Amino acid sequence: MKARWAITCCVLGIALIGGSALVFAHTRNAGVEQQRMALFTSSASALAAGNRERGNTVARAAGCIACHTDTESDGALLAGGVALQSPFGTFVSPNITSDLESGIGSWTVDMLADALLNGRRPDGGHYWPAFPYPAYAAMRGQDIADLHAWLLSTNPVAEPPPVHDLRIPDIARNTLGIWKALYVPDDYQPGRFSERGEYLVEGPAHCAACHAQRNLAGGVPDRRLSGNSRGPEGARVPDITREALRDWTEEDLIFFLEIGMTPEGDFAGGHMAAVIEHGTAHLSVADREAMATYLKSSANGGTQQ
Amino acid sequence: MFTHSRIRSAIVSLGVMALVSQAFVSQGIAHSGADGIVKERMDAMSMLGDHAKTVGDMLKGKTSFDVDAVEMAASAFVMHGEQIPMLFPDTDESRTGSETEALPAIWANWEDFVALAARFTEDSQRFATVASELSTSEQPEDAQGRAVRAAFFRASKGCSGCHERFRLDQD
Repeated sequence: MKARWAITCCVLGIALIGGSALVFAHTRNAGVEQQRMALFTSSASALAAGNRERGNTVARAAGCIACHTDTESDGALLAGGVALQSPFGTFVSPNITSDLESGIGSWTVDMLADALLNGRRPDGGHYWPAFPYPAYAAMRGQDIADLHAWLLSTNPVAEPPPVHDLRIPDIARNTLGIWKALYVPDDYQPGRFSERGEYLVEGPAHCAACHAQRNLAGGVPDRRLSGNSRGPEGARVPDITREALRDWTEEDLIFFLEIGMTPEGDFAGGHMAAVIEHGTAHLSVADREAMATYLKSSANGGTQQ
Repeated sequence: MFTHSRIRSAIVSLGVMALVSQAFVSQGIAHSGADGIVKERMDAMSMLGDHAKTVGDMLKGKTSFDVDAVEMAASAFVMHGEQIPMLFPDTDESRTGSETEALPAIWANWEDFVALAARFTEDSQRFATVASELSTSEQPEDAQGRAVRAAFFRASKGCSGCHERFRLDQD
């Protein structure tokens, strides 16, 4: 009898704590998310109409193509199906073509903004953070509008959405509010980064998603680009703070972001090869220069004060 | 003219051979844990990396433009491209030899692997053609630089393309 009481109390206690955490996180997130959307919408009136060509550049910078196109199996552009292995199981990228049913063809620009900035699905649920919204949260309004224009201009592909193969039950997605409160920086919002290189590296290019250490919860509490011993597919991802890059010149970095060659003449493989081939190689020279300049600057992971 | 270019290519071939053997000697230390076919291909890759670095440093403006070095690099690329399938035989030693970074995906997707190598060889041949025309080119140096850059970039896509799927990813 006593044991039963104890168990009941424990369960109730845990439920109470969990419930309070959820409610607290929900309230807190709501404020931050509303602010991001307000910043997006208020700038929207000042935004030029979405431009497809610029949107393509945003898609390249943000790595959309590398993750959402199954090039290994000659898959259609943005039709998804790329597997990302993680300690939580295998995530499979969804179809983000302009198809009305299987893709995101029916999305308004606000829906895209809510997905990128807040990790919110159109039904209000959370995306798994395999989708790197902790970095996208800092994306600029104009970039989102341009990206929307480009995404909606792509070929629709009517393929059913792929299924993730996860070790955690799908219902755990409902608790991601707590994860967001902990690991999406509150101050990441449109306009957060004014300098181009810092914006690209910390925002759309989401370098920290692989180059910063993730904790057991899959969060990145410290966004310094000091490397990750357990990156996607279990690969070790190198430290790219300024100190680690001391033997690289800016020219070396620009070259690397264009063709993947290190100063020693080796060539990047794995995910980085795809990031370069479908992403940074297509940016303007000025953008690659800006990224290199930022990576070599003291702002990139200098000793923390 | 004809004999001149023959002598020239003979010199280049000799240079390539010299560099290959030099690379084998110097890389013997770097890949000391590997042997047999694994060591052979690792040494070949390192040698290619040295050539890529040489051309890369010129394109970055770190070193001055050297036509002979570009020609040697391009010849080495072509030679290596042709050898790739032979450097990855489907044997136990080749699959699991000490220090190997070759992924089983190579043998599971052998046709893709060979096709990538063939494309790399073709692009390297184009690079070699551009390189061989440099010494007689009357184009200004910056135009030559652009031509080398484009041809080198195209060929080197084969490096990353292959490493993306078929080499163990580690820093």
